[in-house]
Amino acid sequence: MRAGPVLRAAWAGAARRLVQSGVVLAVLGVSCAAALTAMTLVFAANQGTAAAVAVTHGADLAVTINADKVSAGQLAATRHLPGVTQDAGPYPQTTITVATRGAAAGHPGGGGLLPTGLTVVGRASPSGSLDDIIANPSIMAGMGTSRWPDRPGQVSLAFTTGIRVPLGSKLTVVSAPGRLVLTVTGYAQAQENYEDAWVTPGEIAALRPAGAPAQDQMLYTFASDSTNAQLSADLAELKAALPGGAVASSQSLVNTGEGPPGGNVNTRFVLAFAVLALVLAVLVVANVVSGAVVASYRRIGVLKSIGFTPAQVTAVYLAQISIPAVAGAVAGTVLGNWQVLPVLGLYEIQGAHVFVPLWINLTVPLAMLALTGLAAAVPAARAGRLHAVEAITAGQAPRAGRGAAPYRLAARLPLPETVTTGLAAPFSRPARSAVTLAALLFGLTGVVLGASLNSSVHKINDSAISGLGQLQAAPDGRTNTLSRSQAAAAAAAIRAQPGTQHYVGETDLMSGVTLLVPSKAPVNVGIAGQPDLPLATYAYDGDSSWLGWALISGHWYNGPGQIDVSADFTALTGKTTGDLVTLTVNGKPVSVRIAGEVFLPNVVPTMFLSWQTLGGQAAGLTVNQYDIDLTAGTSTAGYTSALQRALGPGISVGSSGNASFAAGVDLSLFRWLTVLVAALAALGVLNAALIATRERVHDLGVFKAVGMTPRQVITMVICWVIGPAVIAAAIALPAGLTAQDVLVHQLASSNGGMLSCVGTCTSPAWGSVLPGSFVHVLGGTDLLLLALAGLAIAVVGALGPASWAARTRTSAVLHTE
Amino acid sequence: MRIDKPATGGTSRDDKIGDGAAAGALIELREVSKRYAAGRDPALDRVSVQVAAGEAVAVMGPSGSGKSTLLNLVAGLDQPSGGTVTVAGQRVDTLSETRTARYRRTQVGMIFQFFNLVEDLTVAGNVMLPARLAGVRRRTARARADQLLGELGIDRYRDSYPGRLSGGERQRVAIARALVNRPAVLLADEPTGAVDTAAGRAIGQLLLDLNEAGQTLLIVTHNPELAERYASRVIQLADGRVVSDTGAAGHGEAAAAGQREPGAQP
Repeated sequence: MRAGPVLRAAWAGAARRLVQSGVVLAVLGVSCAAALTAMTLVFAANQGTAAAVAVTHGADLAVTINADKVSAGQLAATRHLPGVTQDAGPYPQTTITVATRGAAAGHPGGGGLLPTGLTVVGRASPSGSLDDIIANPSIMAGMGTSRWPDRPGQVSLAFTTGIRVPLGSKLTVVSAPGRLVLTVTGYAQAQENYEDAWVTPGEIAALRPAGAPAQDQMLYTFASDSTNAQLSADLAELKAALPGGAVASSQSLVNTGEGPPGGNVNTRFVLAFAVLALVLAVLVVANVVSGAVVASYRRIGVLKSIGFTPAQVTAVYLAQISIPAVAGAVAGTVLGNWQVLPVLGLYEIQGAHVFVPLWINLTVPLAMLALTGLAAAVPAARAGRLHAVEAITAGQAPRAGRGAAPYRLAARLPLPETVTTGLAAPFSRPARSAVTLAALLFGLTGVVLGASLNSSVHKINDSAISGLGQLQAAPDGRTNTLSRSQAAAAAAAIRAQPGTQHYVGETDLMSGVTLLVPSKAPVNVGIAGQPDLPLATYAYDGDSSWLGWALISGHWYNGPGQIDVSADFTALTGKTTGDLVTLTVNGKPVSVRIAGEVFLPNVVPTMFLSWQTLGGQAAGLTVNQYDIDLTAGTSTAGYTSALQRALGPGISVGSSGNASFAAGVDLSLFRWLTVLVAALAALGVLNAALIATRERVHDLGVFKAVGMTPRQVITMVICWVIGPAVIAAAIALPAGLTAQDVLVHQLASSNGGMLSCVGTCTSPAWGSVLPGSFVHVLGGTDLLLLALAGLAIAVVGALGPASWAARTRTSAVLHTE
Repeated sequence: MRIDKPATGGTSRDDKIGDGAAAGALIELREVSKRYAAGRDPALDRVSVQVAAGEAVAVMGPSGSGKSTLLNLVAGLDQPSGGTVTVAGQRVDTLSETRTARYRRTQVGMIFQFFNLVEDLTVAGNVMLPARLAGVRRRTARARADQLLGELGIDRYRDSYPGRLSGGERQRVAIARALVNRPAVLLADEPTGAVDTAAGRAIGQLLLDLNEAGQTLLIVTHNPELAERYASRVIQLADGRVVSDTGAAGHGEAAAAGQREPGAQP
């Protein structure tokens, strides 16, 4: 086969059809970026840090040693064990429980931190002989400049714990004798997730709970370390070398059960999004490319008529599509790397170079180009096999009768000829119209699914703080409750403050948590018959219906004797919406009915009720904080400053936004993936409309020649795309919503409670039940706007060539092929 | 074949077009020039032509002489670079695209060499199209289309698509479409150029019948036989200029003498 004529014909085809070539380039670019992002995230989620990033060094195994069972010499000797290549330690280690504000005094702290278990290691420096901890990682730059603790009373938290209190916050170590307070100096990032926080080495002894054994952490790397079996063998050898009972526990990168730093939080949603982007990329590329070739059948026939063989025709079109496709694939790969690297910044490790694996950078563009080639080759080969005349007339001459019925039906409508002709036109070319319809379907379904998944994920992530109001006014830490007079004054100030829409006093009670210092709260609330069941209670002194806790079932309590409970509560008590529960309030039984179940993934079962429900025992209640909502348009910063001045010292006004239970993955990732999905969808729709109109430009000239005005031309063209767009919307909107419904429930139920756990997670699976508002996130207006957006894109795609034809002299249009 | 007499005022609700041509001339081109690109030779160079109502005029000349350009200007498919074009008293060269479209519906019937039928519409749909655009009721338009298709002998194809018809049959459909609104002028650009000889003769006869019924014809052709048989007058163009404007017989004698190209040595 002579390459010269083939390449000339291919280049001429690509150059003459600049718009189409541009669309192919854009589609391949966005598709490759989407596919690369998706593949990288899928791979990283499945393989963990070692596969996703270049790790220069780090510990394979972390061993917790009972210090009183082994001597320093015996520990030092372990570094000489066969297979051990490096070791570090011993670093003193202990486990603590921390809480803030109300929870620290036995009252669960809304807007702060409920009792949370942390593994703490004493390290004088973030740099060690075996690993390097990033004391001030860029991923946490939004919290401020982090510092490594350099004196007692300071703590640096691992950013993977998910705790997000402002720097300088005080954490009360409720498990330690004397209720020590640690000031958060920063958030650090370790290569491995063997511990949750770091303090100075000398602090550990003071933090150790009474009666807890002294423990140390030893870190090891081994010559063979890639599988559980190998590490188990190494651990067994280590245990054999130490006295019995010396090894309390161990962890490794392979068996920690964690994926990339940040844990499994949102990972499955990210994967779902990634798969959606990948599927849409494949569908759009196939649709765009095959449509481009089908639209060129006439030209293919002309090529054949002048002597191109079938093989040469196929080669021409492969080459013609490849020119913009290769350019787009390269651009998309670069774009994907540029966008995904900040996300991979989660995996940034000091001294290590973060990159997208080479095999992904090669596989994605090659795979997309292969798909492009296949999508182009199939119709091109078909056209190549046709006789020249058949190729020229293929698709241009409908079979007798096809399309006549739609025209007759449309003609019966009391509409102008241009409108009825436009509406009926797609039916005379069903194959071409199917391409347009498919593009609209894929695009709209993808956008609906993407937009609704994005909203669902954000709602789930915000669920833990959704019922705390926009702002909270709480004691500033020197005390955890407000006296009656203080509460009255605070309430008056809040009520008087311009911008206040709602406010309510919240009392936080805690019971059944044995590690806490015995509660000094005047009211002790528990569940009859289950005194050891940890129970958090939010009691409100007024109307709390506006707070916005997401309900899975039932309704918010609307009177005394009713409560709302968390899913953990129902799981652990066996009681559900509508059931009666007997509480003990200062030892006295109080019967209440469960009005509803709240979506609140939490470490302890939680219930919500009014002061009145606690009956006469409520006389001892005090307010721990006020939850406040602002009127629309009120500046949060301005209101906060003004109210703070009105309240004076002793009470702090702030937002709980930073105390989300979400951890790890940057939610902007979802926005990036949604943008990719939307861009792919738009390109697919635009291209389909463009092709459908472009190949009818000559017809538009004929219409003009027999007397159609420019405005009538535009009207008819709009009607060409309206029909398929309406059909597509009627299918795509319910399809997208159904897919989202199924997907969200599947993802949520597969999380098994890991989605929003912080520290030690003990709660059972909650995920099989989600509030309807977390699933059905798009309202009628949203759906209408999405449908109109799809239609608008189709119209824009069609109007380009149509406007040109309408504006241009008819003789020029008639000469256009 | 029975052909209705053309209406000179149109059959639609469109605006009445004004007056401006020389007395007796249905079509008048006055000093018309058309240049497609600066620096290039003009396609038409100060051409002045008048066509009276009821005339059958053939415009002949070699390729690039400006024949089709002249026709496009009369049809309003293009605009002159200079001069004026008046049809039925209306200045065509100054009309907007919208008014030109309305003009084409009612005053002009256009027949193209390659038919230019809408492939998505049936034969009947193609014929009815100008009438429907002009606001004629569907039932009336369908009746008119059926009448024309019957008179042209292709009524059996009324529900077929153009792609399935022969060239001659397609041209008949195009003729029917051009006649549906009883235009004042019928313009034909190489009407037999894409059909076989027999079909070409049949189409030529059709055009003759139309002219005998009073239809004004302006035919672009390079076929001297067509010009001789079916036109009463021949305008010869060369390099964008009129080189002769004679009766058809005179042209036919010239053709018989050797079909000299204008300017060529005998």
